[in-house]
Amino acid sequence: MTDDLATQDTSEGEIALEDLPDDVPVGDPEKED
Amino acid sequence: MVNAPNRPIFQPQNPAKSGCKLGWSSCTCFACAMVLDIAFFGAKVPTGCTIRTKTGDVSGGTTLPQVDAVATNSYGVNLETHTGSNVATYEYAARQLKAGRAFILQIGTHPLLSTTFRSTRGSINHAVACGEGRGWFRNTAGWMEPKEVLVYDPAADHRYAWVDQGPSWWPWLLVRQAAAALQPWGEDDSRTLGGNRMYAAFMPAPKVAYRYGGTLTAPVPDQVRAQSPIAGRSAIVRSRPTSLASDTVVGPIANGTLWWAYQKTHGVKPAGSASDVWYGDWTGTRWIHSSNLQSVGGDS
Repeated sequence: MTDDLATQDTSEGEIALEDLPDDVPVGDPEKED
Repeated sequence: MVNAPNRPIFQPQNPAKSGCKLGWSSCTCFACAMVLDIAFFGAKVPTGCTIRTKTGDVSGGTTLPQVDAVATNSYGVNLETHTGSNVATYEYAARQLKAGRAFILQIGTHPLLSTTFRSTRGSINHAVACGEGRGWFRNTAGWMEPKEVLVYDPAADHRYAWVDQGPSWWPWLLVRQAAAALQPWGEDDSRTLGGNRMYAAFMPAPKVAYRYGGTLTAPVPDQVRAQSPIAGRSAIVRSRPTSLASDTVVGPIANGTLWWAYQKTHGVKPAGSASDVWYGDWTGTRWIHSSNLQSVGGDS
C-alpha cells in the first residue's frame, strides 16, 4: 500500500513553471454557500 | 488536559461562527492564523479575521504573498512562501512537515467533494493549514513521506451534515491531489496546477529554547507518546524537570497523545523510577519524565 501511495500522482504539472502566477486569490463566498 | 504541544485551536471561517464578515473569502487568512498559532506555541493566537484586516484587502479572496506580508510585518514570523515558478514539490513539503514546519496550502476542492473531508459546496480554490504528519515511511524514491496529515480546513465546521469537522487526518495522497487541483487562474479557467506542485507557505523551523541543561534530541523532533506507567492515570506535563512540587504541574496529558520532544535533560528522579531523564518541548517550558513516555526515538 505504501508503495502505491508513493508512486501515484507524481507526474509533473504541464503548465510551464514560469507561466504560473505568484498570486492566486482563493475563497469565493458566492460559490461557498 | 494538556493538548499536544504543536496543535493549534481550530478556527472556522464561517461568519456565523467567527464573527468575521469576510470570513468566507478569508480561508488563506484563517489557515495562516492557525499556522501562526503553531509557530507561537499557542502563546499568541491571531484570529483569521485580524489577519484579513491587516491585509488591507476588503474584497474577494486573499493570496499567500498577502498573508506572508502580514505574518512578517505584524507578527515577526517569516513564512517561506512557494508560489509561481517557485512552487514546492511533494518531497520538499514532506521534509518540512517532518521537521515541524506547519504550512498553509492552497488547494482545489474538487478531489474532496466525494470524500468525508468535503467542506465546500462546489469545486473551488481554497486554503488549509497542514499541521503535522503521521505514519512516516520511506517511499520507493527514497524520501520520507507521511501516510496522513492533520489538516485544519477552516471551512470544515460541520455546518451541514455533509461538511466535515476539522481538524482531520487527510490521507497524504488526498493532500497531494487537492494541491494539484488548484486552478491558478481562478475557477473560471479550467487549467489546474498539476502534480508535484504545491502553493504553500511554511512556518520557520521551531527554534529550540534550551532550558535546565537541555540538549537536542536525536532525531529532531523525537516523536514520543504520553503513557502513564500507572494504570488508570494520565501522564503529567510539568513546567520544569527539576521539581515534582504541585506548582510545576501544567496538567495531565491523555495517554497515547503524540508529544514532540526537542530537548532532554537530567532532572529530578521520581520515587520508584530508575531514571532522571526528562523530555522537553521546543520552548523548554513543558517537560515529561521519561517514565511517562513511550516509543521514544521512533517515527510515529
